[in-house]
Amino acid sequence: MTIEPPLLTVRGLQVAYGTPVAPVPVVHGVSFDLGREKVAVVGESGSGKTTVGRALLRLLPRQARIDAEQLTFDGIDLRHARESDMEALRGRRLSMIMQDPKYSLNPVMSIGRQIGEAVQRGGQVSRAECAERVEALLARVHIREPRRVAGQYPHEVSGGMGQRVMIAMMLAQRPQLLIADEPTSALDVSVRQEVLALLDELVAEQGLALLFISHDLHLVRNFCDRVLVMYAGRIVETLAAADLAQARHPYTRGLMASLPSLRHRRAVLPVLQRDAAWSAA
Amino acid sequence: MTAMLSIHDLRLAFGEGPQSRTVLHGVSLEIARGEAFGLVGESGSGKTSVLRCLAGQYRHWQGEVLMAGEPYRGERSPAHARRAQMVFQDPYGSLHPRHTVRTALAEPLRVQGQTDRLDERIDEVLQQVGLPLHFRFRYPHQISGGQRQRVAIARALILKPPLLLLDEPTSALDVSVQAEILNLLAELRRQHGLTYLLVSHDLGVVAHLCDRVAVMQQGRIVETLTCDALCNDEAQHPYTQALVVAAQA
Repeated sequence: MTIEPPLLTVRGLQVAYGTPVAPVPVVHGVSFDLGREKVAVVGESGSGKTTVGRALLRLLPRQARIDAEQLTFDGIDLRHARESDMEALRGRRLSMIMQDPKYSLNPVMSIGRQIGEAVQRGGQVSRAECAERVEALLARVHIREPRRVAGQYPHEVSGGMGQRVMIAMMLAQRPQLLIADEPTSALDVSVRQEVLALLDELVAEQGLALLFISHDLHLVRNFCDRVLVMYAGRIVETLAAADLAQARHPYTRGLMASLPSLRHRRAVLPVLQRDAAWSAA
Repeated sequence: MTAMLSIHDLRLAFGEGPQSRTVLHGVSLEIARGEAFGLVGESGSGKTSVLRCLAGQYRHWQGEVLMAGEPYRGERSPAHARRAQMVFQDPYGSLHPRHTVRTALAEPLRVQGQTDRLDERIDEVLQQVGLPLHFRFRYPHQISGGQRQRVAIARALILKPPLLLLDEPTSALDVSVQAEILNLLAELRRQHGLTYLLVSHDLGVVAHLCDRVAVMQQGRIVETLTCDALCNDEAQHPYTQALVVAAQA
């Protein structure tokens, strides 16, 4: 058996804003590989998790300058991909679901039409067939009355349903890599479990590679295979999700310790003591 | 010992006639003076609606509410503002973007006509929430999310109310910052003998800060228990048990 090369290879990814003369770097040399697995990116707000996800899809504002030693997706060099090449990849093979369905869905277009657009991107189909595919996709994400929901607008559905609609749009094409940016943080516990189960199913059945951006350490520990911990634009630690409790880096340990827990109640929660050395490596 | 807050059969509905939708179906609870009480449940369970009724944001509810022994009927009076104050989830939305910290903190005092010793009182409350005094000249966009939440807590504390209504006060914050705010709230309660009614969807947060917790589902309290019992897996209701399992997952 040969070892499969990773689907995505990232080496020395840098993202900077500002002018070339006075750049303001926000991601400093991030490197990782991603195969057919569930890898989490965790860290506080502002640590650069979302920026890394968006940089891979080239979805950052025009002012952002992306630089890398290597950025390869399934043998394609993303650094030198033209915008038209990226268009062909985005959605079809590399997909992203955003944090908040309230802002990411078009408020004046019915859910059926939005998913229909994604279906049509995969190749022109007749209207009847498109409607059928839309319903099948909604059923796939466990929406009970797909025909009724297809006719609804985003404001008429709950947060959990909106999130599932975005997953259905993503499924309309068959991406190999999915970047999920806080896909469950706006959801209630029970709905969250459903969405996670669905993502799990996709990884198992379709061999999807999942980059799961989250700030929820509890969730990541149980759901993902590996965890990349980011601090101030750097990956400070990479470890198996199961080993999160035995993390070595003081930042990871500090984050874990500051979580209130039902099992270990403490009068005072330890507060993270930041060390300048963490962002200087 | 009299209860700080006692709610009996609180009912709330929106809309009229056949369109009417009831969101609170007779909620009852009692919170002792100096106690921290948690209210958990999913979005739509009615937990925030309970707070809004108590804060005077909804006024068409039915039921009986006693605050510090006095009946409360939904009025938004200066006297009520001195009795109960609310801290909201989103410190980005709850502070006026064009008011400095000082203006935001002076507002409750101006409304109450307590304008003597204004700056002294502001310094005092900034100190209580652990913010440097020069922060009073800052605008909300010039400070971090955790600092903004501290300002929101300071604004709630400046009238020295005995009761704080806390609506998901840390859910918009990173865990590291959440720990700081939870420690601050615990410390303030200890120092000033405050009573808290805390709404949260995070059982860990509730168990950390509160003595007792009520679990809400579809506008009803399905179970009330102590946080010690909650942590020792003594929850009786299947919904509470499911929340505990999810919180430990």
